[in-house]
Amino acid sequence: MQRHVGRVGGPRRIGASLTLVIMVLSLPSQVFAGATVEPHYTHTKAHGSVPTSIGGMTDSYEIRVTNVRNVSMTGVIVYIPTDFELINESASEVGWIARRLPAQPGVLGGVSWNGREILPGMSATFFLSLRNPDVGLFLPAVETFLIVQTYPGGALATREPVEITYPTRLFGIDYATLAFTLVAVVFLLLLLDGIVSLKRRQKMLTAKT
Amino acid sequence: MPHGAPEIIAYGVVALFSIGLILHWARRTVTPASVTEPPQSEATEDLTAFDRIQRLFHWATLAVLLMIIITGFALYDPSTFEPVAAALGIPLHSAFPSYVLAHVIFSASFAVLLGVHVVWDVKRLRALRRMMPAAQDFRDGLLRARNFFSMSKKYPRMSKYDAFMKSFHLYLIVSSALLAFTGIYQYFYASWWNVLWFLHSQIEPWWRPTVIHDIFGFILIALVVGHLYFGLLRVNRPLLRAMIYGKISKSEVNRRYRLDELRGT
Repeated sequence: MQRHVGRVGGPRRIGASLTLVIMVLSLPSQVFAGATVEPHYTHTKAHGSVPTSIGGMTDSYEIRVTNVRNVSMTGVIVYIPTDFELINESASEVGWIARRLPAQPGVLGGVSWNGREILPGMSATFFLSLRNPDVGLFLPAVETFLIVQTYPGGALATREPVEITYPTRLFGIDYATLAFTLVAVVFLLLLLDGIVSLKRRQKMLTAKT
Repeated sequence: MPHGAPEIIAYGVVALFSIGLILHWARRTVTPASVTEPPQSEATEDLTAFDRIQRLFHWATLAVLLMIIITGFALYDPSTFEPVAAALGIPLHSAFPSYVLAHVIFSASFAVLLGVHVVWDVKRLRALRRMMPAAQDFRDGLLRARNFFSMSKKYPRMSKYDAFMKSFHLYLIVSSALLAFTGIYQYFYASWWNVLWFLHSQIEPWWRPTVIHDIFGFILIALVVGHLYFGLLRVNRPLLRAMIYGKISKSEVNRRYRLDELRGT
């Protein structure tokens, strides 16, 4: 952990970050603002409003960080839950230097970005390509990402949940879309049936007259 | 933690059922079924198939069931319902308790309608036996299935209610009881819509009433789609007209139906 954070700041920053890490792990994400995690396949799933991705697939996660303080933000660390496999990382703006932080006993792995600053009120977007963990059919997992924003003399941490569900797509089509399309086909066929029978009746009437 | 039925099961039920209906339509369009069973007796006048109370109950039940399905679906999969809510200009994510309330009100209305139906059909019309599957229904069902798969050219006359309608009716009884039980339990003891998402798993008991409620709800949706399909199918139009106007013409009765089974409401 010390090695990870040492690249971003000094021992005091490490202490501040660690304190915040411990604090935020026991609090819901709604308490904090300033960072969001959005998987590419985001989908507000049944009975909840948590961004969702699909178990076992490699997804692109967009991390949007906003500077809510009055001083410039000097770096960002994203701690990735242990079940994920990091494939790639990038930033929307040039100049950010990414460093992978391998997981160590008791410390989550992640990625840190330094080399630029985010001015007060401004935002920056970072991307992580992650292989999602496998989950059971009836056992979706809610994984929590920890985003630490570093400032001169302090840090701000945000905890963002992402739900990983059993695959919800077949050949790239959402199950809901697939089901409702099939239902629509059923009723379209009935409509076709109705039109054909109407035309037949008209023909019969014409033949009679 | 979000804890509903997995989408693959919920939507899978509807998708599979729809595929079955599409196959049925294709098969019956290529070779329509024509009745081979000779009539036992001939109708001399138009018959009343459904009285006013039965018709009123049927259409009121359809309306209430559709509202139960719509509000329930919005609660199950808000992201899919979102475009509909946006098009109608009604709130969704901020109004979950209102959707629950509407769902409960329509469910209670359904229960009242069921009460009226039971009293009218069982007590007054003594029609309970008419809705219970009998040996004749299974014989008819088997013959129709053999005809469907080109294993027989024979096709039976239709009774007022066939094996499928009676099965649908039985399922409605069983699922209504299960949906009511799991729904009432959720409402009083596991109301996930009142707590933050990360507390859902803490209030959901081990027997997962929400999952049971969702799965049976989606089977009900699939069966309602099936009922609409068979109700609107050309071959069943006389019964649909009877459900609107009450009567079936004598020519239709003589062509397709068993007169004795159709007599009396």
